Amino acid sequence: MMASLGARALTRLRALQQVAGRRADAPRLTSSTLLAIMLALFVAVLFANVGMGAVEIPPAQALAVLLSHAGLDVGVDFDARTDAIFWNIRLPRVVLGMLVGGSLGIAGAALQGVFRNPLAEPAIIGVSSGAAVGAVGAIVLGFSIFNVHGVAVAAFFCGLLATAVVYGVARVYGQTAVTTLILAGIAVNATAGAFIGLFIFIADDDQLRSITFWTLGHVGGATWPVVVSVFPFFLVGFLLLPLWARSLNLLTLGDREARHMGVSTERVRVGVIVLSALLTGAAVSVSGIISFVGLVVPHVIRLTVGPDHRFLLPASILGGAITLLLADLVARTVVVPAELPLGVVTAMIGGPFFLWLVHRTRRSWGGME
Amino acid sequence: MTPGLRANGVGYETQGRALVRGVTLDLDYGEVLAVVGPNGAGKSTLCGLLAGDLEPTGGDAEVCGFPVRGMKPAPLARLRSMLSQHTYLRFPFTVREVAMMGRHPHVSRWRSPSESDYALAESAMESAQVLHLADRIYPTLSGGEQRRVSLARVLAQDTPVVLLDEPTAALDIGHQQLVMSLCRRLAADGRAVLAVLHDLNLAGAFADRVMVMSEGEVVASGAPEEVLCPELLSDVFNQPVMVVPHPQTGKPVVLASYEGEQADAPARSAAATFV
Repeated sequence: MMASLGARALTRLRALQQVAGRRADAPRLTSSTLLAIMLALFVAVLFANVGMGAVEIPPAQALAVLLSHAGLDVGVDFDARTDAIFWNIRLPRVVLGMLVGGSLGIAGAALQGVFRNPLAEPAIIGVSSGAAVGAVGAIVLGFSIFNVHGVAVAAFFCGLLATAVVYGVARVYGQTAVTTLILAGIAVNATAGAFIGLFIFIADDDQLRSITFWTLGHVGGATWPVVVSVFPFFLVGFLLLPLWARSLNLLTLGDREARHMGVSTERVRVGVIVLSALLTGAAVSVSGIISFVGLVVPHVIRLTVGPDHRFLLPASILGGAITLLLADLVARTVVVPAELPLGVVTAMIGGPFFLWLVHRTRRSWGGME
Repeated sequence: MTPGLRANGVGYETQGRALVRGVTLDLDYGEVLAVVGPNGAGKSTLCGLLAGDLEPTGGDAEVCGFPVRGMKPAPLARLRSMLSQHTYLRFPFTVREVAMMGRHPHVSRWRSPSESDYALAESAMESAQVLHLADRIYPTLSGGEQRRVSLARVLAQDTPVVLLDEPTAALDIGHQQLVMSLCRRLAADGRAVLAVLHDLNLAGAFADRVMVMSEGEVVASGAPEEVLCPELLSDVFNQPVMVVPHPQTGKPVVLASYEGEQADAPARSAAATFV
């Protein structure tokens, strides 16, 4: 009797083991495949952005204008108006959109790594609103309305302060729990909201208009001087953040583990946070608060090719640029001749999209706690 | 020759409480030291002190003859590896990627990992029996599987000193034996291995030396046969125990003793079912 029970159990065990051997996770895309897709998308979006609007500029003309500014004549005819619209209005806007989107993408990816938390995003954890307080304060207190650098510097320091507060409050034993992170973000966002409200209260009509612009997000006011003045901030972030990619990979295992494997965790953490605040501050100072780009872009990349920061960080720049250009295209084409605020568009698309993402991936994250 | 790991009166005090007091130990290359003791005896704190996670408030620790205090993380990581009690990872890295992380201290910032780095990670996964999981996503694995992947990462680090904090926790009996034989293999390679263990029988069967901690202090240290004696263990664990030789190996086996009380063995269940 016992022997037959045992024998039957053994047979069943063998069958189970065979099934277990076949378990597998959803396959990933290779990084080069994704890169090819993104580059194609990027070029398409680029030409759509410079081409679409009240005056249509076909890709060939756009290229011709661009090359004419580089001193090359390719023999495609275009008039002076096309030149002016392309060179003075559309192109600076597209370049600024690329820079802002890219910086939000990579800052989101880097912050998520350093907080060890896929939910860290400049807007959610209060970095953006902190930076906005700085920018709005600079506008209202008037120490630099026309000097973009002044606004950018104020945005940077307030963004950094907000990051430091959230980070200090949410980090317990080298970890940030999702709930504490979100709660700290709520508190910082609320406080920042209060300060912005205060500045709105004391602002005059002109200032009020620019403040509304800031809080809703926009890249419409882009001019070459604006682009040139913030470009160095973006460049520094884009070049330096990827240097910590491997350390960020290890940090996702935890502070202690990363140190066990030779990472100078404190240095990496401070460096990444300062650079992310710099990027976010620079982005906010020229475009206001644009949410969800920093959250959704790294997520999609992680879902398709995995979380390796060596690919994730640079790819998030490209992905962020694509996303922002797409959103800007929507913002300025759906309610012609008016324009929707860019932040409204990204949140309206990004919010539901992220909800779907959370629903889809809640299990593969291994739980949120 | 300097020992792989040395502690000179190491102590750690926090919030007015001494978690570890005056621990002195020498661990030679080729030796497996098991640290045992009741919950809260300071075993993990000692691990943290030896690994350089915590700054000792008294005494000092040395790894391979170098003082741990003040050493930069990168050179330290080439001397000692450590398996912590808990590792959380929320990002969907594959098992292979996690194992490769162990190679980090050996790969310079400006270079990609070499063939031999990949080969080492591969053989580490094989040793920890997770090679068949190599392309699986870490957060989707079971607790025991994740544990073995962490072990593979530690093995891939390929250091002369290996610290393991409860390497057998959450593992089934087969994998417990696997991990402990791995400890022996590491020692046979000439490494110094320190393992915090809760299972006294594993300590008795696999360690060259057993160190018993209680209330933050070392109360006994020596060969398993000497240290694992019923009087000492009953006292330290506040639970009467008996020690019998293993029928095959003769190594000490520790069992709870029920002398003087009604052994509350459950009646043999007739309802045991096999599906």
